Amino acid sequence: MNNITIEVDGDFIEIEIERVSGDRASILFHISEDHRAAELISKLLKRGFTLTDNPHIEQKTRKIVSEILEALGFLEIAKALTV
Amino acid sequence: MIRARLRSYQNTMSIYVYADGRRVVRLEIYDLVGALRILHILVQNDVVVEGIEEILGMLKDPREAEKLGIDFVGLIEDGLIDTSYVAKEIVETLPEGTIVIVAPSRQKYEWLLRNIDYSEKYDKLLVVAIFNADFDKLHEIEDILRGKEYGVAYRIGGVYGYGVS
Repeated sequence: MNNITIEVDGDFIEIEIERVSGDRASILFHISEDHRAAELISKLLKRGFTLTDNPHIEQKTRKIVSEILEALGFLEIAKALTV
Repeated sequence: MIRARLRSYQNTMSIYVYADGRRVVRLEIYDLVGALRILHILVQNDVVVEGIEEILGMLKDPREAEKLGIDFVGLIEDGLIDTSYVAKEIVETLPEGTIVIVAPSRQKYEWLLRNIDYSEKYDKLLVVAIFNADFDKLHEIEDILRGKEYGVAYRIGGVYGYGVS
């Protein structure tokens, strides 16, 4: 599966993308670009990227990560994960 | 399976969340309250948390927590008061969202003494340090917490934590 890892460091959020082929890329967003990060996550999820390999855990993981990001003030990203 | 690992370094808490063995989030948190908030979310979602004792490394300035609305209740010295009795009495008064951290080692106990001003009255966060605590006493406290039916008590290593939900 193609995978997304979310990294939060202070006011910055980094979206790491890893394809099943092993290709990797990462994009750094400032907190003020929350909506842009949310757009990216939303697009990736629609294209079949997941936060984990296991679909049974996927939903719960997204809920937990969403709650964490919401608590940290990344509201748009939190919303994108639960849609 | 979802699990989380906590690591502190100086004033930073790193929180890693793994789902099915794959890391899905890495967080760098710079304040105690932020770390406690995340810990609370993890506990409420039944995530297995490793290294909860690492959070003690961030208890350097209670005023930092106060600014964001989480305070310290106090510190209890074993030997002066029976810890299980105190835990029971205090747990009964804990408001929603309280996290209890039990630090069973002398090192952590002394660290807490140096770093927390427990002379003031706080009412939202309880930190209990047990000097040379034995496992029977820790079990007593765990039983008391469970008896209150606030949620599921959890145990990681020699440290017991409890999120009231």
